[in-house]
Amino acid sequence: MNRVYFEFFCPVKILAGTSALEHVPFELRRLGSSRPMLVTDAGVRRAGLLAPLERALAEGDMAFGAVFEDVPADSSTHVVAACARLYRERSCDAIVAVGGGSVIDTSKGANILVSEGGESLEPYAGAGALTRPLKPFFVVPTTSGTGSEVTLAAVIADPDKGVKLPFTSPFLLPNAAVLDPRMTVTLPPFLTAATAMDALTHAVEAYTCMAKNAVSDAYAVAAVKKVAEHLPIVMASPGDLAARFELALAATLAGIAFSNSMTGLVHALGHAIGALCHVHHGACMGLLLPYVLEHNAHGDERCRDAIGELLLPLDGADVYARTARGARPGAAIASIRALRDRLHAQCGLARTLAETGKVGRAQLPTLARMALDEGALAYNPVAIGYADALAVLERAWA
Amino acid sequence: MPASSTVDAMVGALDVKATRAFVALMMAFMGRALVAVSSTDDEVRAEIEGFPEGFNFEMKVLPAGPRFRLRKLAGRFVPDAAATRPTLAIQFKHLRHAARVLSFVECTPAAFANDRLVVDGDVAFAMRMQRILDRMQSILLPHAIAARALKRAPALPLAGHAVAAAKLYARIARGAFAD
Ligand SMILES: [Fe+2]
Repeated sequence: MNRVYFEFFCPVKILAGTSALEHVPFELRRLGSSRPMLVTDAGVRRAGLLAPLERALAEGDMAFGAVFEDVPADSSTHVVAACARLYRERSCDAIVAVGGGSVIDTSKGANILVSEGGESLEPYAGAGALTRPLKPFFVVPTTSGTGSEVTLAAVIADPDKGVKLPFTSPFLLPNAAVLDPRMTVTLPPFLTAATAMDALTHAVEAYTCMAKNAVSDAYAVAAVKKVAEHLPIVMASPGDLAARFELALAATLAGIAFSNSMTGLVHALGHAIGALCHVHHGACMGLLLPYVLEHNAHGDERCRDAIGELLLPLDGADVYARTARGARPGAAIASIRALRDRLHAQCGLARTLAETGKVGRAQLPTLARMALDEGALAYNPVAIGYADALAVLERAWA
Repeated sequence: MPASSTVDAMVGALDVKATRAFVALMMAFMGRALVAVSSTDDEVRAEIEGFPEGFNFEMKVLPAGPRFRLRKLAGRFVPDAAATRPTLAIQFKHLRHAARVLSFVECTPAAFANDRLVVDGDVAFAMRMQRILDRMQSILLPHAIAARALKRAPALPLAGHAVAAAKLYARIARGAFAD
């Protein structure tokens, strides 16, 4: 599986660090916007995260032309249509999404409608249906995990037809991702740990999957190092703004890595478990990661070497240098296992499928079958059939 | 590796017309092979069950072919001539990429990871189609070539493999004459 050719694309401007929010009005104006619409959810409002952004805009002589804060956890074409209606009624000229995956996907959908016209998203579903840039679109993530602020995909449920519409287009990439330490500081311990494990998994899968390449590797390694160093600090002192910021940055770096080299079996299994058993995506990732790495390390030599290289960002130069080359893959996996166990002790993050309390053992065959239909599987370094998927799930059971 | 690089050099040396002819031939062969396995192989039939009735699949080289197109009819694949947007499309970005994949220099999973292809349609359908293509190649190709074309070499017993392949080649040949 030599990488004889690869592509890498990330045109998202990253506004990162202290007073990042205060850069938003300038950057919006630069793109010709003066009446942005804010898209968010009630939880973000309740957590008080909108106040600093609204103040930053006001001090920059700008105000939101409309605020849409009714995005539910599972968004739909109806929500997107309502969001687009509000944008048009208030003659807005840009979208600023503040929140997690659902808010960001809803905003991407609404941006398609307000830029291309019409009421229905369906004609734009699939790959390559969009052919020109959309309205200016900024994302301010409030969790440090999904990486949606730098990905070109969105999935929106169409409840009338009972299907999930997938959208992939480079035009869905935000113009800017805004990483301000103030936005993730109130994230509770469980979500902090779960979303950080999602970011770690993005990075590790990006670094070990079939489409890994020299550029995405650089982002992936940087992300692994930041999670390994700063997640323990944030768990010990949740108010540490600097460490919070490092985690937010890690999530974005990991997002850039995996959106260019894709993921693998952890995400294929995780999507199936999320859909059938509603286990939190990040919690699922942290739980499955060591089991999948063991399986992949066993099945492919190059993948085993890549996992061994991750010992350096995971445990640092001293441990890496002390560990013989052949022992590094095992040591890297053990390090991830140890992190998982610490998080279990600190905030109850499940270590096995049984511990989630949401997965039944009898469901494992169904989950294995569902995972085979997940696109992420196409990029796993080792070919996965039904028996392989089931074997990994069985090992992750208890 | 040496065998693969020889093939690579051979295919690489073809001029535009010959490359196009080679790709067109292999595309037609693949279309017929899929039609054939869809009625002979239980595993493939079980996969086709998962597609909706009226499902159609197109594999083509951008921008204008060569291509083949199939439709699901009564649980099998049949050739399809419709010009509407297919349910699932796998498109090579360039003729040369198709030539590399169809001469088994670059395996399909690698071509996918290497951004040689555009997949348009439901991801679950694409994964199902990939399993059918893998299965078809594992039955049809000699062991050594299949090992290169797939992520994992097929686990079919050799004798059974030869018989299944012979039957299929006979069907594909009949299909060719029926046109
Ligand atoms: Fe994820």
